[in-house]
Amino acid sequence: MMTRRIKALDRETIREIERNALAELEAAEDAQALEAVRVRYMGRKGIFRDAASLLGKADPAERPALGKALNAARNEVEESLKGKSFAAPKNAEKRRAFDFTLPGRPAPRGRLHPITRTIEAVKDVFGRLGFEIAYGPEVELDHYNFEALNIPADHPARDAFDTFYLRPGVCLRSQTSTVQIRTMERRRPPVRILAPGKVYRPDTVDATHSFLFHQIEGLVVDEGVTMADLKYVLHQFARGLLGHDVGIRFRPSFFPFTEPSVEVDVTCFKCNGKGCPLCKRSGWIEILGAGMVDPNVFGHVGYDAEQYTGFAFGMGVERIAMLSQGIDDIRLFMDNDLRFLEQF
Amino acid sequence: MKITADWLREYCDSGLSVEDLAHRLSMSGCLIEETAPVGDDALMVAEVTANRPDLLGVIGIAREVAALTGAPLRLPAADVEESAEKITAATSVEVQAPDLCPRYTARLIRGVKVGPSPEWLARRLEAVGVRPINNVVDVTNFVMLECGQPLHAFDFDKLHGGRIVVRRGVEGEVLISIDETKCKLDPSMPIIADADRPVAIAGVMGGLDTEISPRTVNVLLESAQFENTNIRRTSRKLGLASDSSYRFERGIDPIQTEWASRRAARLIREVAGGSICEGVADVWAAPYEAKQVTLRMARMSRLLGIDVPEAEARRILAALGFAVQPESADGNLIVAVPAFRAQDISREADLIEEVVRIYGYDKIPETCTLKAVAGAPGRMEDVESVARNALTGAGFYEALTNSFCDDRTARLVSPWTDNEPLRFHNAVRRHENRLRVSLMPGLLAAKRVNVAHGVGRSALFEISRVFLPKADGGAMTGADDASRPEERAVLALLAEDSLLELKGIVETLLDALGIGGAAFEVGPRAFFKEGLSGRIVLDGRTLGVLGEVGQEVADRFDLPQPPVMAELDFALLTRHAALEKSYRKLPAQPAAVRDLAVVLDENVTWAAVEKALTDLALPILEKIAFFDVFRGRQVPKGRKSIALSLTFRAPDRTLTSKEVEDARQACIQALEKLGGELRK
Repeated sequence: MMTRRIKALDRETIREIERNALAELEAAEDAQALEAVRVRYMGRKGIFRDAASLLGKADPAERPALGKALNAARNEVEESLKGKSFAAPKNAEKRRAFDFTLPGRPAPRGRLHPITRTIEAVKDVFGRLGFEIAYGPEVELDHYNFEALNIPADHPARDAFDTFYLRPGVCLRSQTSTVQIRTMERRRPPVRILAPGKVYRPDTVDATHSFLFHQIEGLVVDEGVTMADLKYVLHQFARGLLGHDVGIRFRPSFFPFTEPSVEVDVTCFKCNGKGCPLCKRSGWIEILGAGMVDPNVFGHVGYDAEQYTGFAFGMGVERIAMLSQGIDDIRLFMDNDLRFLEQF
Repeated sequence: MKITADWLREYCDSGLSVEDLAHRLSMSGCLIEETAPVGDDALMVAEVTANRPDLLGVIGIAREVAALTGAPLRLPAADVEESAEKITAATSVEVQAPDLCPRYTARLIRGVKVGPSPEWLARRLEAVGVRPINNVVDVTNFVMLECGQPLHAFDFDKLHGGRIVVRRGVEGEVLISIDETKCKLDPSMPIIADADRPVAIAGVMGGLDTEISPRTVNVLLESAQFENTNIRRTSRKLGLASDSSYRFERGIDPIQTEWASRRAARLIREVAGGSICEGVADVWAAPYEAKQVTLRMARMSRLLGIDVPEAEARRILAALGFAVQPESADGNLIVAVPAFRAQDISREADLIEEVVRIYGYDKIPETCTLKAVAGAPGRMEDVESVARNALTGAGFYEALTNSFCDDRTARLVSPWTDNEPLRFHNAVRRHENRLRVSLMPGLLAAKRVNVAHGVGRSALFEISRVFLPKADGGAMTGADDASRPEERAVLALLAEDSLLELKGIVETLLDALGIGGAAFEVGPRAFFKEGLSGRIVLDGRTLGVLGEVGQEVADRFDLPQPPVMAELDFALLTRHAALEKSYRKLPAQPAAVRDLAVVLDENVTWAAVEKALTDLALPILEKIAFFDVFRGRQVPKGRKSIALSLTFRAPDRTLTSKEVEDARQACIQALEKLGGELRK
């Protein structure tokens, strides 16, 4: 290696520079070493630059010849450098082999909660259908949770909606349908909203029941909205969420805030409708409830039920997440066990 | 509601298989949850919705089959052969509370022989899970299951005065019911009494003393209608529910009340002998008047998006028991609602549902008249999505924690309010009965789960609501919007890194949201460690808190290593977020970077260093970047070495080395004024 600082320039020195440079070049085993050699000789503070700066101190008679020799040496080194840098590393096989089967170093990666993922997936599909997101309070007034939804006090329909009370008249909402009322009170049709959120019911906790879960409510109100529109929108939703070949069917049901009311089944996504334990051999899986907005509900918010019609639908987020991902215990969602969360 | 296929066939023989029957019923509003063979019959379990009390009897379900298939509905015989003894001579019924008991009928059957039921009757009851008791009681149960009208049989000879009084309970009265529950009665409850004392809780349960026993000879048969909501309240108040109360609270058919009385009397005579006194004691203040509802065919089309032929609508309504006037003007049908559907049907929309559920939802096409709308996500969604991406990108897992917590935990930390956390009252969650005021306890509990399972390092976040009472504790009254708590969206973080790293995460988040100008300062201790508790201020308002969790709190959550945590006001973040990006031209001139290490007193903060340098107002000083702090050998005690990097640049020219050096010297002098000493 060239370590001696050049004090004066003569032919022998130029030859030595060239010799050393080529030797070091030959010895360089990888791109990094090669680059070091390049910088040392050809760089801005490199040896050739040093040598050239000494040219002025040389004997004026010798100067042109020395300049030429230096140039030739520099060109020689430069050419060799070029040749080497494009050549495949000849000594590669000498290096330790890289074990491609070793696990890579993982980059940190967090995950969204499966409930968020499910809500986002549903929001995404309805967003494409022009639905806006609406929110309402979780601590609700009895009026919004029941009366305005056509669920009178002391009615057996309330059995399905057991409720936590903070004090008389103030409760934790037991369904996201409350957002329907709050939205319609605030604005005139057309309305096309989707309302995801938490709901609370004093159920005893087991593998399929929780006191806190999530619902997504949808509402469309305009002139001329029909049940055929409802069927279209829900089928589009089912396709968007579950795939293009999924079918839907309506079964009559009862909800106080819609009339007619239906339960909506989709083709079982496990067996494709052939019948399996998941769908209890029926080929269908219930995923939401829906119906045409009850005229009494319109009455509560001051919409003219003759002028406007509308539909509403609601689904349980946990239920959809559990069915579609084969999760067998609702309690896992609030445990926040990373061994669970990291699966999504 | 359990029925059997054979039983159903007695009233409507459709010729359909059990599977087909179950499917057709399920698809028209009477969900058959399950079918199972019982002997050579088949059990069918129907899930009956709260609006359809008429389906709580086999006949009601048979009526559905008739409407679905066109097969005729055949009602069983209910005519009775009566004796010469007039009921009016034998007993009397007095209704003192007509609001609670719209109709009461009584029949008297004398000379019965109480004993086991004949096989057909016992078998029928057993098939649907009802235990046979004796022939008289079994008939009352059978007729209830058959038509939905609850009945009660009294041992007539045990009724003091041999008469019935329907009245309100009296404070202090007690009744032992047939299931031997001691019921305390009060004036809110309807009771059946004899001349002296209560003998039954009307519509809920009979009394032990007057029940049918093997020695009973004379039977007073009650068939009545009690007011729905009152039965519901009474049943809940007493904690007593029965097949009777279940039906009464949903509403029964008051016309059928008298029919059921005859039907049961006839069957009692058939299976237990005896003779039926002539007539019925019947108190009915306001006989049923059928409501007339107009169904506009055009409206039905507008609601359903399909034209149901008028003839088909008429056929369906008639088969379901509605009386449709034969002539209709402009496609408007005038429909009279039968008593057995009066609970459910009172409006046009209800009739439309009746027609379409039988006509078939499968006939509704999928058409879209909705206008296309270019929906755009709301601001909240955008901000949430950016925040979630930033945090998951930084390795954080999203948690979903309980909105409830116990009293002590609720008071543990509340960065947003000093008011007492709200409480709800429910037996199901007796301890966790407070609404959270911070997400941090929830994340600590989540961390505990992971530590307990031996899951390694975990960083968690959650964006959710906390419930901030607007007034303290008892002062929260009223049931209007003003008295609801503030529901504030907040974002909480939990990590096991250093506080500086957590601050970095918060800064990354703020940066992702385009929020500048947040200041971090020493905050109130809260549940953090002394000196490691900070506050984030934005625009003069508290944006959040951050710190290292105190050891005592960590111990409470069984965490060996106290984590670092932060909680930010997400609503404030949403308001300040600037998600729209705009391009800044890249610099055309090269920068000169100079690194410095300066030894300063411990109490000199980075903010002071930064300020001293920016106060110089050097036009070419573009950026001051912190490297690290070093304490240790070569640095005197009570001092620290801060390494920083200065970037110099002029927009219009390449700086000369002299310019850069002069600026660097100015910086060094500024730092020396802070007591700094350049480290070589």
